[in-house]
Amino acid sequence: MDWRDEYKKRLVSAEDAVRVVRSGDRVVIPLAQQPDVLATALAARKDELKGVEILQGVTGSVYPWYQPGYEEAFTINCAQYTGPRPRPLMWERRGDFTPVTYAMEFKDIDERRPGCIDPDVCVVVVSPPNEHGFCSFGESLWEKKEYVKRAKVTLAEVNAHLIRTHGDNFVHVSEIDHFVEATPYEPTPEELEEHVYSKMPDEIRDRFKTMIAEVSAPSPGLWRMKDSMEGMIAILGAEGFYRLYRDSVLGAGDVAEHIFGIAHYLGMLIHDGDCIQIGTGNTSNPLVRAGVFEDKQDLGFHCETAPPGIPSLVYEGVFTGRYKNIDQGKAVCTSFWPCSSQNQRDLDILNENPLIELYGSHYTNNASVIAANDNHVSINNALYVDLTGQIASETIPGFLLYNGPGGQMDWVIGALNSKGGRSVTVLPSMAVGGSISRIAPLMEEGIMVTVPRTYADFIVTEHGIASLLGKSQRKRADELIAVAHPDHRAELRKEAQRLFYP
Amino acid sequence: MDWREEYKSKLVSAEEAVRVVKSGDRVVLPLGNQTKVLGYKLFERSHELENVEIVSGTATNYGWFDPGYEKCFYPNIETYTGPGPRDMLLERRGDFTPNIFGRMFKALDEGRPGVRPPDVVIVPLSTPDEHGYCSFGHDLWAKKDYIQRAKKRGKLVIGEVDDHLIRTFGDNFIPVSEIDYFVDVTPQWPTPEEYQALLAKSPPELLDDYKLIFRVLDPGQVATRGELIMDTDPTYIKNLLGLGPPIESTKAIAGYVSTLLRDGDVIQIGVGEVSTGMVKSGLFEGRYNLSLHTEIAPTDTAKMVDAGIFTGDSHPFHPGKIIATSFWPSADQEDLAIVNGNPKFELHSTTYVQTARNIMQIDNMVAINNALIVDLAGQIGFETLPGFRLENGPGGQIDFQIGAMYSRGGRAISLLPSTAMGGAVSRIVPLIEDGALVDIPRPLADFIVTEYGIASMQGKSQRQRAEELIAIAHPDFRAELRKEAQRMLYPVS
Repeated sequence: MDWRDEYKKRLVSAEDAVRVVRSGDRVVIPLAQQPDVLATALAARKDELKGVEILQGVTGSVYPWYQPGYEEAFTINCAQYTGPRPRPLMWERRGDFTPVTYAMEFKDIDERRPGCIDPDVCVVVVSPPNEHGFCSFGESLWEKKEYVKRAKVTLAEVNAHLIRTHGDNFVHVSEIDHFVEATPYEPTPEELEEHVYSKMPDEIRDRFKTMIAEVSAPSPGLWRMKDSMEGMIAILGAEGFYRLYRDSVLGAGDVAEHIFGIAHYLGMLIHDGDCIQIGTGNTSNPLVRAGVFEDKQDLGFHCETAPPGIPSLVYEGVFTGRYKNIDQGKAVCTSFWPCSSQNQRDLDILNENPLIELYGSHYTNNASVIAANDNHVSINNALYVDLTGQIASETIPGFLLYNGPGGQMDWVIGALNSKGGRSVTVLPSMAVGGSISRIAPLMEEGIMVTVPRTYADFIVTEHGIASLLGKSQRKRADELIAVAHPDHRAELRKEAQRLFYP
Repeated sequence: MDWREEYKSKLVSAEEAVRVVKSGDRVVLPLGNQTKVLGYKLFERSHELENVEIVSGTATNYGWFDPGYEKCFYPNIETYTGPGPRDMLLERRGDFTPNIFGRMFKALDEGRPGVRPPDVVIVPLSTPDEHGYCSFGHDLWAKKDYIQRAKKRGKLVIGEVDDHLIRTFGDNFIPVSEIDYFVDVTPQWPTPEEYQALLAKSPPELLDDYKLIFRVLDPGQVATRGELIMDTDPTYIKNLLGLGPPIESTKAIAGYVSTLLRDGDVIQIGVGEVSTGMVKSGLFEGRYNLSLHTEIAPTDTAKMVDAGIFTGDSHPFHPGKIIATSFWPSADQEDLAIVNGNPKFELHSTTYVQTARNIMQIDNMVAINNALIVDLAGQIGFETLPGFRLENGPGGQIDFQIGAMYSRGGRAISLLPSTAMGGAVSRIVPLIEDGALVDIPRPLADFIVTEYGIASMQGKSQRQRAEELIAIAHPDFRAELRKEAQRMLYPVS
């Protein structure tokens, strides 16, 4: 059958599509490009379904099932990483969480580990098919193609705005069981003003609009805010909401003072020709805008999800990939979501650009692949580092899940097993508010260790660089105390004395 | 110069050799078989030296681990402590460097700030062979790597020669030209009569213990320190040598672990009471065509090779070979005689054998290692106990875990008797806390096995992980763990 006929035959309404879900199913909504229409239709079946497990990656949507009252119908199981939206659900322990790294995401089902659960239904967002019948996953691939391969049934929302990229970022019409056309609405400026901006707290509205103009943010994404904005502001506060969009979504606006400090020291650890991975987060994202890569030459890029501004640096010839051992000449990652999704400048560069390739996260995050490039430098965020060098990026005291392990350990392992490789952890010396030191004596109870001390390498704060690899316990403590905030050094020195001296 | 003349010209007395050490030097006595004479000779200079950094792994206490020598010697234990330096470290009188074997030299090789090369390296060696190469004996580890780093920077290497050391295949040799001074300390091995004379001093009830010890112990050690050995509690020595009785639970654990193994797997197995006990309990019996890519070859390796259990045929880079970095203390003198000059067995540097990058290329790599503590999130600790008590050190375990996890078909198995301190505490705890370090972060946890069964972590959610772990905890602790799991992972009802 011609793919056009096949596609037409498989086009259904959202209500019809979600009818394939049965009680007890495992429904997977892989990371990023949130299928809002299908999720809303599925949530509407809450009174007729029981015990449907929703295994979901990070999402930009506040799905209905985050609210209390959906527990009988839906069990929420966040995988790898939570992000801010399901945080209340997780902190009230109403949801479950699966800690797995991206490289090992399918090890359990592919190698038939005891108790492994195959996905029943996979829900994704794709572009319309191209002339060969292939749909694209847009600027965000992750493990979607892998889940489509393994799921019994796949439902796809079709969004005509999605870009196409090079790499392995496509799926054939024949692989998808049901399509639902759901290209997001494009509001007029007046509609945006009335339904979004007018509801924004006064203290952030003007700054927000300036950022939007700076990156020509596409209007459908802004329109989506009208349903979730109030909820997000309730979770993060107005200023937190603004900072989230500034640093993690739009990649525009001002850069905080301490970021320039971190960028200064980080720049000293990056050499021309290095292959770069940089994580996304409140600290690492603005480092790009602070210019940390701009004076370098012929950098390579092999990354998971990229912070805003990376596409421009590929375009400008900073990331040439000239010295990579694999994928030479190409910038490789698995996603530009959420950091370029609202940045039209970035999206225009990414669209069908042969210099930039998206591959599944099982490939980008495979430590063997990462280590195959010499001089691989991984740059990742952390919440805490203790004086032994243990790094924590997921939880805050009391076993409260803030993010998740994500792929951080994949990158740290890859970097330290790469010839000449370096693993750099960036963090401000103090937690927001300025009262808590992020350099701690020993991890407090309930903080998950993301990177064990044997894999700690460089730790960079706005006060300098701590170099831990090859260092003894006492020297590690000295190095870390020297990059802690000056207000906390005396206290940390006392603790170090207690821990490491007679 | 012919190597024979070179060797002769470099032969000095022990006193002369250690005279090269200066105050402030960094002296490395790399992990593995220890010097019989030079360590003591260097310690004798404590009255005239200041602030000499002694870098060593689990090691003989030549005196510098005792209190009172802090001004002369600064012990810095690298990678693994073991019983020799443990008390010194628990009293915080020395320092510890948590390097892992696979990456011991990355910081030095890549010029990381503040990392010092060794000034003097002291290693035991065999006499040179006819080509002028000395062997490191049954125990290689990072000795060759340290010599190479020292020589590259014009630093000094002292070889303590014992003609009895065996030669193995692999990369277990160093040319005479790389060594600056040789000290020949080859001891006269005890005669059977001398063994009998020593054993005659044993109380009858301890006779079997001493016989066992002498079967494993280097005869050179027996010759030089036979009296001391007879004055020491044999249980203490047996524990040092890993000859303690198998823990009761090991047989049950071995039964579960064997269900996770398949013919053709490539095995790494740690040394430790539990894992060694499992080999003795027949973990590998009935298997066929296994390969070995491991740190210390397990006890009875030579016998298992003979029985066709380990053929090495499935090893992708060294087909048909047995790959390890050390045969000691797991091999007895009989086993070492089999290994000596036998091309089936190869010793390679620990930096090669134990690096994740190499291990993950091996399909069906199975890493079997001991753990001390596991929490309900799946975090695994194997070096410290609460109170920041360093029991072991990271060794190379994390890279075997990582290598096995990224290997196609690979499995990482953590062995954990369900309780410690005679059943008083559960080794499965709600959360690792109070200064116990996390050695394996939870996404990298795989199979955890106690005498009550197997908990499988990969792909499991937090709640499922907790259930799996509670099911293999000691029954006496399950109710309490369940309560904690409820508190940690479920809403307040």
